[in-house]
Amino acid sequence: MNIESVDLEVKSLDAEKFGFYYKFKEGLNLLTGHNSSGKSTVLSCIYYCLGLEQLIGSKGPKTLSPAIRESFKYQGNTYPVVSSSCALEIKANNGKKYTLTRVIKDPSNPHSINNEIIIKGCGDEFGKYVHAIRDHDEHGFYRWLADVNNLVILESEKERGKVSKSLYMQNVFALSFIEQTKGWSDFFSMLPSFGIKDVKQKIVEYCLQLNSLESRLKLDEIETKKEELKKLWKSDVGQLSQKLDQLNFYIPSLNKKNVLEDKKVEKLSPLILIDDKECDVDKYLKHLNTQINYLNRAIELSTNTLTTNGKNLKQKEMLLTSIRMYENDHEHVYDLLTQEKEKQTSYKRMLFGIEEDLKDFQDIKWISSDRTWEKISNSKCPVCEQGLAQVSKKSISDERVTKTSAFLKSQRDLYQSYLNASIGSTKKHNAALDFYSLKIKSKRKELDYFSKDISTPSVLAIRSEMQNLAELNQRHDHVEDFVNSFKVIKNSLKEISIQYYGLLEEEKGVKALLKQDESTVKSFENLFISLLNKFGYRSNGTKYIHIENSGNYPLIPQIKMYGENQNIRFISSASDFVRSIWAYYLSLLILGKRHPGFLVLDEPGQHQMRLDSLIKLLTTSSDSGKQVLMAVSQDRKFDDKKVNIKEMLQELDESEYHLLHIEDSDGCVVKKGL
Amino acid sequence: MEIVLNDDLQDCHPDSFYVIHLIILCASLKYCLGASKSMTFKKLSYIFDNVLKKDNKSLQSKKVLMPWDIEGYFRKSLILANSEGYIELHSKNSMLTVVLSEDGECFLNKIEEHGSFLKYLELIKSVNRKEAEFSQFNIGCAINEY
Repeated sequence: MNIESVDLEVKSLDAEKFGFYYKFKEGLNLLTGHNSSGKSTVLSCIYYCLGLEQLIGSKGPKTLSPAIRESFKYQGNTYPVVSSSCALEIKANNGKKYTLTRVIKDPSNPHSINNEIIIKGCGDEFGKYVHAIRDHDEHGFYRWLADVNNLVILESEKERGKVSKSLYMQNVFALSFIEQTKGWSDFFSMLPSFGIKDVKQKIVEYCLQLNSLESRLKLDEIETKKEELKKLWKSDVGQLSQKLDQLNFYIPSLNKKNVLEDKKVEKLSPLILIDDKECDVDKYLKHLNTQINYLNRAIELSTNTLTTNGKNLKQKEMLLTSIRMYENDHEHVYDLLTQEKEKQTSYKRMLFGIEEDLKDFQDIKWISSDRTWEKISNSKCPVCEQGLAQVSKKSISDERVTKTSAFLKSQRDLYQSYLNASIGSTKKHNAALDFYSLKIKSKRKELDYFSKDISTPSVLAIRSEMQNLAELNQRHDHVEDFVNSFKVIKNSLKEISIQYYGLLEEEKGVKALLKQDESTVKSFENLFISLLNKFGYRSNGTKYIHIENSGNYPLIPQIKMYGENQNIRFISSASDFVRSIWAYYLSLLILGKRHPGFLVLDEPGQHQMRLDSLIKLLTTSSDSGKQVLMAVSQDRKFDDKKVNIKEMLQELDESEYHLLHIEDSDGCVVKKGL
Repeated sequence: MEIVLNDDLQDCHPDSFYVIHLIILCASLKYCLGASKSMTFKKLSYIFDNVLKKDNKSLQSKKVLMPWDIEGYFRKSLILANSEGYIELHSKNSMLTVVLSEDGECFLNKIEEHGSFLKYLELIKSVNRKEAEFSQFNIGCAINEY
């Protein structure tokens, strides 16, 4: 991408127009002027129009000089700024030209960070927004900026299928901007990290298109998925442990922390200690059956001489009725559960639609230009379900956006709350089903004994056996239930285990790929060292310098001294470190396969830099074949023959650079006419 | 759209279900507000669906909410009622709440004067649910013992 021109328009009282206009060319551009003449103000407008002002400070116009948003001096008078805006013309990497306009001061909305950037080009005009959620998606400016410059926005899957960006455009464009003060204190010193892990390493990997970036992103993704599976494992094992404890069972090899291999999961078997002997579930069930049969026989022997009477027939009828009622209830709850599950599927789909609609409405809130129903591509009429994009091409008012957003938010809240509650109610429904199943079972067993009258005096003797039998039956039922649910949990654990060990294998494969970038890193290192030599780097010489994608300083130049690797920043003189920054950014500009394609250096001559070094910087920049914009302070009047600028440019032909000068008398903001 | 009540409405059901929906919405907003000035979507949808189904049990339970249908006719009827001015949607903390408008009140008075839809109205008047129950709610499942 090239910066073609920057055009500031400031309106003061009585609509008097002020501002500046600078046109840049391909190759080397030098912006000169006295100290505090406004060179950085001009450059800051470039950052601002590209939505990249975070690289010099924070979001919005407050990062810009007060001269373009509050008041400025011109020919000895102070002028208040009533309104201001800036337009940047760029030639994108797709070969097309665009003008990006962003408001700096809007009297009707003085505290806004002015999220909207109006893009004009290829016969079209539309708005995109910055510094808000989804500014890297469909309606966001950064997505557009990346697309027209053939840059990729890398995404990786985070927890629960959520996709997040691995590098933002504000990170990528840090390859192109070095700010005048902090910018020279470290490599990518003004880089907003946005909580991205190893962000500096990732930027260089992105720029040089190293395999390691995608591999490491993949590793991050694998790690996140592993953590998710571990959580599931922990929850399943926790649920199982609770059931095991209730029945006094245990499984020795099972714990919450370590995911077992699926073969080991298959072998898991609950045990119980009976008379100090370990007994598995099958044996235990047989043991219970033996006891139940024994008691059954004893009861049968004691009661087979008894006859039925009218009273127990009535009780039998009552038992049958209650069994039928429990069966009806079981059926009813089962229907309810099925309905709830159907509702969950349908509401999830609906919720997804509502969220998509809401995203669209929240996005276009930031856009004023070309805000039509076509932008709301997903939205459907809530009454007739017809797509709205085809219905109307009218612009959507602010009031409609606010009200519809609130309506959709309320809808989302309703659906989300209901879904959460409904998912929670599944457990209650299942518990109710278990309750009715147990009731039906126990009532049926009770019914079996009502063929005999157990209230006659002759049966009283076997009351304790009856009670024992009831307890044994209950225990038997619980163990049987457990065996069924154990099968389900075991399958779920097996599934988790297969996925988890699959991820471990994948992890091994990806790690092997990391070693394939050595030649690219080597050529980066070679170019960096050759430029350092050219710029006159002296501290410790350059033969111990190397760059590697590992260790404490991945892809950052290091010096190996006395067997120890140290960051070049710590053992270089101040001016030599500035030389290493020049060499580093220029190497990336020249070699970068995914680079914005231009470089802006504000005051590269830090720490009373030697003239010969500066001359080499200018010749190298001019030879780079890319656009380089430099702001350099002049040390005396511009017309003076001895002015440093002329000395700096002595090795370059006039055709090899483009000189832009801010007049010595006024600042950068000057009168533009009514 | 203006709904005109004919005398023959007194004893029979109207052809349009929407009129019943409108009555439920308006009456809920008049009689079920409790101490609140407006009603949230959640509470209104709960009352609307259960009154429509005449599910007395779900409406009378005091603390537990039973499953209900949040889709159905609720959204459409709500939007129609709003567009025709019977109810108003107000924004509160970027969410919408619903209140009865003057037109809605007039419409409800007419219905009550006619003495129609008494079962629906009686059911709505008996509902006593608080907004707080809907902020973070659970859905229950009843268990019977015989």
